[in-house]
Amino acid sequence: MKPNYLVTCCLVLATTVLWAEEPKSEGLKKVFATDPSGKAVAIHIARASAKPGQTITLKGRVMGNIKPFVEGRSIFILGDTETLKACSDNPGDACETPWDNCCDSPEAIKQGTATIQIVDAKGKVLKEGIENVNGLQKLSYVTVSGTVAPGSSPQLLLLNADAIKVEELKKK
Amino acid sequence: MLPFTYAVRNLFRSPSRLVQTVGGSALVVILVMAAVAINDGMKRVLAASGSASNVILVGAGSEESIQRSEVPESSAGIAEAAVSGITEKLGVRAVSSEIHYMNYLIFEDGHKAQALLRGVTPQALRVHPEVRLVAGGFPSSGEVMVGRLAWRKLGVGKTTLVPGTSVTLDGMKLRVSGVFAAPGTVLESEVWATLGDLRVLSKRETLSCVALKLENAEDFPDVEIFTKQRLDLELSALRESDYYAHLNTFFRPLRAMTLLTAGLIAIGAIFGGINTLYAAFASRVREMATLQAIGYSRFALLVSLVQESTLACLTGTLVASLTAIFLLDGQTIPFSIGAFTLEISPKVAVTGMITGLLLGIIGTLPPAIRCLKPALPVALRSSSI
Repeated sequence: MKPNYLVTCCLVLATTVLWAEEPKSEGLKKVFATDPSGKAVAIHIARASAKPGQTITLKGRVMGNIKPFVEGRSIFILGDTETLKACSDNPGDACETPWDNCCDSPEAIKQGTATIQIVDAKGKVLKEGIENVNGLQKLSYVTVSGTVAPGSSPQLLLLNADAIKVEELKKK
Repeated sequence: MLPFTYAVRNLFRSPSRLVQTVGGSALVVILVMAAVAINDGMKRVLAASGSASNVILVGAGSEESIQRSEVPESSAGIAEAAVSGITEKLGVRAVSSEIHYMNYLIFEDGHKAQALLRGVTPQALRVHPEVRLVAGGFPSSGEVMVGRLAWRKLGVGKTTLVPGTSVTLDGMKLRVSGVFAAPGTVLESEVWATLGDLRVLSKRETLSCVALKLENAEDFPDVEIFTKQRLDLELSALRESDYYAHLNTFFRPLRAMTLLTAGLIAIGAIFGGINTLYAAFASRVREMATLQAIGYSRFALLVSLVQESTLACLTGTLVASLTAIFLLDGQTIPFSIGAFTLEISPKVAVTGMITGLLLGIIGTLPPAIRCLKPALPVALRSSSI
């Protein structure tokens, strides 16, 4: 195990244990209580064929943006682990914000990211912060299933999540 | 205790030394007051320049500099339609497409200076309601509107930038259509042109930013949601107040240097004062001993010497304060992104008074103690007169 990977593992595990919060609203509780169904696919593959209204399951990592979460809202950015690499995964990289993928090209980031949101019955994003809920944080590995939101296209993948599972750190 | 008049009369025993002390302390105090006024002025203008209810949409990754940011032209229309909570008046939403561009302007007298230009549409006035035309009109194509402090930032005479004059930008002659005020903000140092003109002159196909005014500053997360839901536009949302707060942080070392320089000069002045007073008090050892012999305590003499010196320093402080009020107050100081006006506020005045007081007390104590230290028989036989 490489030292920087070990440090990331320790940090992520420590923050998962220390700052994990419970979801407050029923909507968010339900999403975290449900296990994602179906075969999880990578974002760059899913975006090519996803159509609004379709149910899909994605796997990835919370990254692809300097601020992958929005304070007080249930929305986050999921990055494709097959096409994007967190800066901290590069040996010797001391990037302070490894989740922004500054080491990847803007085009790769554009193609390798999807927006995951939890919406209410009216289709509005829940007014409840999702960062640290059930251990979901920057660079967390996540599997999520839901419905492709209206307005999605091969250039833009937006998913209304029904189920989110925060995975433990993968072993290399 | 010795009467206060003794200290006052002693001041005039050596007029040249009095002038030296008053002049020296006045210089130090005015320097400290200027440093504090500059520090406060820069902080104030940057804090006032950003509104918490204004949001700037910049290109992702360009959060540090609007000039470097690239935002697709279509973003303004999409944001206007998609973001809820934008201020709306008479059916028009406060969304401003802007190009921020830095380049040299050539004036009619041939003078050349780097200006911060902002390409705007009339919509900008909805997002920046603090902007008020004070002369002339809003620019049309081939025209610019200048902030009322732009002349200071650009290092030209005030009459060089009045409606009817012209400036040249990248070979294009632009007529000054008007002058605007935006009290207390860096906008007053900017030059505004039409978005179309600046797009051509800056050879840009994209905007620098889209500025929105929200009804409620707490709706900012909704704008952030918009940027996350439209990752294809590659936008990042910033509170205008946060952007200028960041600039404020950027200029912190500069402000610290100003204060440090003033502080070092003040310390130098204290040492200079100590040196002068050592010489001055050395000649008064026998006088002090005589006063001790007729019954005054060492402490009373120390207080009198401190009174004497502090009085001179406070006279210098008074001179410095009057100079600051008449010469510094209201002066415009240019800096890289704009200009600010110096204000001799109560805080600046009090800092000046404290500096003068400290100069008088700290500068006097070591020489006074040395003057009063010798034993009375030794001091009475002192050869100095």
